[in-house]
Amino acid sequence: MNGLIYKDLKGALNAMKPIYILLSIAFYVFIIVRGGANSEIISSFSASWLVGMLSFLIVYGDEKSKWNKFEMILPLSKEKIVGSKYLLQLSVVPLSVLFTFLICTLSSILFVPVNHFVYTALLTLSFMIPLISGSVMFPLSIKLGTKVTRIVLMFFIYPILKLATAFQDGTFSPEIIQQNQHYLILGILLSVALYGLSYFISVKLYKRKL
Amino acid sequence: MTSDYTKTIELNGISKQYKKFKLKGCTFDVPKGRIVGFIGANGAGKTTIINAILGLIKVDSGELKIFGTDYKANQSYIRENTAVVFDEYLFPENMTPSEQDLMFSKIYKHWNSRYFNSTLQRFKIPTDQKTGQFSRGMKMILSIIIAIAQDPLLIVMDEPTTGLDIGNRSDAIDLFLEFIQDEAKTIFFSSHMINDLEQIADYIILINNGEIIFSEEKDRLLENYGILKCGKSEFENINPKDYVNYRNSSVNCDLLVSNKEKTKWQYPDFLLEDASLEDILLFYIKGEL
Repeated sequence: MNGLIYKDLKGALNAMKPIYILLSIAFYVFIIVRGGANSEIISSFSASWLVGMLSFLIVYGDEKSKWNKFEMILPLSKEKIVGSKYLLQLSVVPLSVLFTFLICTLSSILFVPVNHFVYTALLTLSFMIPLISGSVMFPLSIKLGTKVTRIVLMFFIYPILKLATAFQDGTFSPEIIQQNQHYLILGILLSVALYGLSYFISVKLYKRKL
Repeated sequence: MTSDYTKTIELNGISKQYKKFKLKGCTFDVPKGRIVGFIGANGAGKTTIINAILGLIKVDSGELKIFGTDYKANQSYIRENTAVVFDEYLFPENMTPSEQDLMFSKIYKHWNSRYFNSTLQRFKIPTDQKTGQFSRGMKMILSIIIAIAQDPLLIVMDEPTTGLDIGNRSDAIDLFLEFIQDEAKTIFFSSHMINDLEQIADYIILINNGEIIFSEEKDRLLENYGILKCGKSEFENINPKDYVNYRNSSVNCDLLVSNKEKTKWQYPDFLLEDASLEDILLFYIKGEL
């Protein structure tokens, strides 16, 4: 399993050219500077969504290079083959949280400090979004291939935008978040449980047959 | 698992029905320690058989054993000891051979890193360049090196030399011959390149329209098969039981016979030539019976 995780990490790192990283940083800095206060919300959501997409891109890369055919003949159990993908997705979750932390920090330095409760909610959601997108994406791509999954992932943009709007227009004001903090913990627990359940479904769906 | 089997692959009555194609009760053995060439026209069923051997398709009926056992009983042993070279490069193109070395060393128990690196060096394959930048020939040689470095008991290859230039094909054949020096190792090799098979195979299996036509020792095939040449009028007088197949041209007729000695004695007045593997394949595929 370590070999597969190494392959995916190396593949992701090799695909990340310094120019892309610099452009992404420049893009987010631009959004925050131009957007002013509250721009950290949409930036944080989009960064989490992008991080959630990373492992989809790796699965897509496997399909494109036809590695998934070779994968079927590896001397590894299907639990390990599927598990390596789930572990990889899990490993990028801290990256999503880190991005949100940096975006909020930058926004706090440049404009007004981000409210403590909004900060906590954004960090929580940055943890949940990659897990939820992985939970949906893996079983779908195993069962239906990445073409269909790509379309389904596009539909994720809508709820993410709605959520971001709810933060920006005050629906999720600091007071409301403060009163409903326990839902954040529940959200974390549910997303972890969903991720675990998704793993078992994916193992069940994974077939070593053409 | 023990290594006291004599047949590396045993297929017994394997059938598989697709919409437009059917494998019809295929039966053959691949002896341990040999190179077995698997030939047939496009769409004859070679890849389907290979996929069945690799456990990648579920067959409708029949029995399949690898190393004297089946996938249900010993899946991990079979997979650990079977390496595959497909007709295309299936590895991530944004990785370098050095990175592949590290990856495979964590996947395969018997991965031979020293062999991998020294063979790359021998074939002048750069270890620090992404494989996406390699030519098709280099990628296929790399695929073969990866298969051998797994230190398997069996290598299954699906058209590995197709599309390679003469230099790369010769390199690939050298690698196969080195691998087979160990008598416990077996190669099962499908190819259109009849010359390659003629050069290295010990046994030949011919498949046509989903049916195994023969499974024979190559030397015995070349020794026994021949082409009888006669005129069109003389053809009428030849007993159909005495030939396997025939091909008509505008003036004469060529007949493939499977027992040269007997034919020489039966038809002493006709010209009898040796048949090459390519001739045999062509008569079965393009013959008029």
